[in-house]
Amino acid sequence: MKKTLFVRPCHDDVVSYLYYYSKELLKESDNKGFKTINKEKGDANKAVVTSVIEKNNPDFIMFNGHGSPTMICGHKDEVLIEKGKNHSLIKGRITYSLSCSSASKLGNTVADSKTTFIGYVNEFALGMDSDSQAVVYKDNRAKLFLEPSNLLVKSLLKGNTAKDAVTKAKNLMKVNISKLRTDPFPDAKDYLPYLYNNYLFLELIGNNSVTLR
Amino acid sequence: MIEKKNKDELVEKIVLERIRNMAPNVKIALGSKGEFLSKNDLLNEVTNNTPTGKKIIEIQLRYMRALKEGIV
Repeated sequence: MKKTLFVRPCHDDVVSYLYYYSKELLKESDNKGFKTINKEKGDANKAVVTSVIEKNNPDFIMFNGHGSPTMICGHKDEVLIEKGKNHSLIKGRITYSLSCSSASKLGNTVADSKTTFIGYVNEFALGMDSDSQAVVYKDNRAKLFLEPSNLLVKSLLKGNTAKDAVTKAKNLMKVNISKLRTDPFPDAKDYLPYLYNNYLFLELIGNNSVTLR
Repeated sequence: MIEKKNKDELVEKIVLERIRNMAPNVKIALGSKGEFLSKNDLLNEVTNNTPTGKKIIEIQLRYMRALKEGIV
């Protein structure tokens, strides 16, 4: 049985959004027959995540959290994976890092014919509608930013190649950009530069024909 | 040098104007800040030339170029 690992910190406003939106992916992974491991909130720390990866050898890992060109962070911004220190932990599998910039140096360091790294080579931006902050699931603006990310993961879980999964996510970003351009509400135009930024900087490095099936 | 400075100042003015015209309900998260930035926060970041402010300018500039070139 193939295994998936989802690392989902929830310690600030931004990662809370990612935490909420990635919840459906756990169910999806389970329904598709993967052994699904969820490390969330305080468990999204270095000791736990390292131990889970070493013991379970997951085929796919999704990291939510903050990042930089050389690292991916977890609960309370503890560094989980760092270029030159423990990047070998994500070798030989598919990683999707929903964080800023980690695809640039870290992604390029690990990527090879057996390793796939999907992430952002520059900032990941997230828009939200402050009128719906109290109710995350009602925030239709944040949805435009996070749905493509979820589609990418769902597509991988369905058995699509990494390349196809990224293409589908980018296509949905394009659709959402078009939606915002024709949206009559005055706030719509303000999200456009940021969603376009995500479209530009989502990248797949390494083995692009790999599947989870 | 002076030409580049003038160009940078012009870009900053345009970006600040775009932010001033934002709807009040819009918030944006960027980088490793764990919070969403309001219109006023974005204005402060750009005005104070912080690393986040510089990123905001780059993002806005890239989008304006894409618009001009008909990419979006």
